[in-house]
Amino acid sequence: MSNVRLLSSDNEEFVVQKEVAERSVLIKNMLEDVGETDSAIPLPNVTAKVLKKVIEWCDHHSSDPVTTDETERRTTDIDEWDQKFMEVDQETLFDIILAANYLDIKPLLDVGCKTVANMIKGKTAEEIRKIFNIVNDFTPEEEAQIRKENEWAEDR
Amino acid sequence: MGNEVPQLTQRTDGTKDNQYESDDTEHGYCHFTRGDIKQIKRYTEEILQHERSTIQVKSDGTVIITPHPRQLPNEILARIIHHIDETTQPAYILFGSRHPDQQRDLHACTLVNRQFYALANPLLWQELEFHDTIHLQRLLDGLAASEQSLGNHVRKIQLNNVACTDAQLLLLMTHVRHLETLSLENVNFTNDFPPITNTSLQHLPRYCSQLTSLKLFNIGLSDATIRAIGQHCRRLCQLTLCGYLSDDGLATLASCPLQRLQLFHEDIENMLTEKMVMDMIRFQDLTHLDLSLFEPSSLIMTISNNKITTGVPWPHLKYLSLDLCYDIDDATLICFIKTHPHLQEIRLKEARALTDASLAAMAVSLCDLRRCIFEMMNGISSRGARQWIQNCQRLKRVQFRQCRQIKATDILETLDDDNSDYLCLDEHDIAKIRSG
Repeated sequence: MSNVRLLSSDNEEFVVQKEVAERSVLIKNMLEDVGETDSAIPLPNVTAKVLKKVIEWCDHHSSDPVTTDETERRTTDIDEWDQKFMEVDQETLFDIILAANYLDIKPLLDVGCKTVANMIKGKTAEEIRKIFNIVNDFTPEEEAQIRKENEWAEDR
Repeated sequence: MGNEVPQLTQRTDGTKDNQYESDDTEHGYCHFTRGDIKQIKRYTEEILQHERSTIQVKSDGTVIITPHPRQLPNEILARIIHHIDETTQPAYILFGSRHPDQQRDLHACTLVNRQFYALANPLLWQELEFHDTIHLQRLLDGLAASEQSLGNHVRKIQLNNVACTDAQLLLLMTHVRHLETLSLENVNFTNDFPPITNTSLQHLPRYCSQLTSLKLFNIGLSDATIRAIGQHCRRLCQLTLCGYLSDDGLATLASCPLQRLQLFHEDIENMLTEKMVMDMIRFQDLTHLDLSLFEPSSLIMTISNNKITTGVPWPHLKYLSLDLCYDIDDATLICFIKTHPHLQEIRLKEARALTDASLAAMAVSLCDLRRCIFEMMNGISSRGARQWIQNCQRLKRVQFRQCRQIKATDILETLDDDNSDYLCLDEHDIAKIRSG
């Protein structure tokens, strides 16, 4: 099995099995375009810390069947290993999501987004703001207007 | 979204020892001392790495590093919010309806900040379901109070006459011009809850011409309403109707590209006329046909069989459900299935004249058959059923309900004969039958 060299934004090099690296559609396409190469593939948007996590995920899921069915991928629960994998600080979680988006690893992107969605479920707007350190940028009038428009949805 | 990295402060007090502090205890960085400089440096670098932090140096030498609230790109946040609008509860997945918790969570998201509002609000409005009139009235008040055209987000509505009057439905339809799926039901007939009638319904097609799916339960369609549907709803591909439909009703829908047609009659044993079947034959894209309490249901097959020479009616049919089938015989069914090889699901009730010969023909002609429900089919035997299951390679689920000759243990020894009257076979049972 051939290996691929990946270069993080902070110049750390990782040697990864081709099959593992190709979980990333971006890398897969790059490899198809350039063919066999000894040069490291630069990933300027991913730090070594995050790339290490992404590679760990790709390695664990290297033999998963590729699901093209968007609905199936989105409605499946997060499996136990992935839940454990996503037990990281919020900053890292967001970085993994952004890296998955950049590297085009849809299943990892879904796991990350579902993890954040699960953190939001069952919370009030105020609690969501607190969890993610979000600034409420509504004016009091805007907020009142939204509450009025959406009063129908408050409870069902 | 912002991060939770705490403020890090370096305090100086003249020539004395410096002390570094974090005001956050959750991250384990609190109360750094000079000896922790390496750790502080690494921590600071981590914050700066994200290029979102600001550094402030005060006149007294205090350094304040403040992480900026972290904002995810819209495309990522949109994905997250779509996941919030998902349920894993099978009943809600099966019926494609929204769990109350999904609505509550989307509503909370709309109040977080402007970015959340922009992404969550269209999704919240996409699907409306009401079970009482108070909430519907709040929605109508919200629509009236809003300067935006919030109703343009609405794609799916589910209502009944307990939640909605004719007057409210009339008002609602003027706001939801992009509505695609509508389900209406009269569930309670009392003075407090008058039924939804054609008074409002006849105006629906004019306002909601984008409808692709219309389901009406216990609501009869007047000639004016069904004419309006045929005239305006040129995208309608699914019609479920439990209620009165005139003999000419289907003819007026000829211009609708119906793929799924489900008709339930209100009263037992209503006549299925030759004209109705001929009108149904115009729906050449039909993949699902479900008729309940119409007889003689054999007309569907006999007329279809007679039309073979001029082109098979419903060549793409995948799902067929008929009850009151007692006048369908083996020859009629076999001819029909031979000309409809794409059938994946069949439900037949009271097809008492059918025998094992029909089952054998299904195994030969229907390579994609996956699910079957046979009810009160007294002519089929356990042996015939067993052979049929063994030969139908894609079969996943079978039910035999009150089929007199079916004995559970004759089909699979490990089953219980007490279940013979209502025998449900899943994939595992079917695999065992095939291997046995």
